[in-house]
Amino acid sequence: MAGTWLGRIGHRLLHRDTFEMMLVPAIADLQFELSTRQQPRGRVADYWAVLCAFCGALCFDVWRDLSALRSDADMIAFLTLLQASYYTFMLVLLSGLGTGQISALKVDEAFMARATSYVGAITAACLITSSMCFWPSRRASASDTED
Amino acid sequence: MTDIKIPSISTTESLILDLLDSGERYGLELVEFSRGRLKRGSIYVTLGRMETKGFVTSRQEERTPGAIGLPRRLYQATAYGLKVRDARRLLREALALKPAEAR
Repeated sequence: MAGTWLGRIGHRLLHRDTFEMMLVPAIADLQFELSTRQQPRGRVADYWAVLCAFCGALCFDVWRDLSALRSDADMIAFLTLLQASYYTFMLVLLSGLGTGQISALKVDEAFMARATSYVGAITAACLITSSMCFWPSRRASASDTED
Repeated sequence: MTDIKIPSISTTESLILDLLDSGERYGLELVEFSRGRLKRGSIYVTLGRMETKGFVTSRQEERTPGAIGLPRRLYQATAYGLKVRDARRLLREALALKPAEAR
């Protein structure tokens, strides 16, 4: 059936209400149109429209999830800071710098730029993992997926 | 003093409510009747958002025996949606008045 694969992906990625309100009607109209149309003309355009609806629904969900994360912003910031401090410390340890070498480091612009980029990358990665902990669930239980 | 949250309505949403004024319609019908002003790729997202806001309601069509595919969804404007649309129209008209006419 046309659009079934897109429905399966949408079922996994979208919230239940978003899936039912935004993607299912698009797929249903696609199936109706393909079954009633005599010529196969415009099939790519039809699929493209459903794909656009799917992307729009996904953006709608992500925006809604990000808005929901605002209530946990302080906890996410704390966890990010904790993780970033830990991994930055580990990075310094693994780089093989002893206390003597650290004190002898030449702190110039190039060093600061490199250090900032490392810490920035670590913080960004930690922010993603911390946010994932609070990200609203899509399909919580197995019974949900059976519907 | 309590803050009153004024509902926001876009031009597209207003257009959809205009099209739904005459009765229930499918998403594809809305695209057809809009004469190119509504896009097929964005209509369902807009309708979903409007349903969340309470501007429209929807129901699944009744299935006829032997029908294939997923049941289609029919949309209908709510009294609240039409009221917000009318208020927006009045506001636009009022703001479009020249200062001399507004007195």
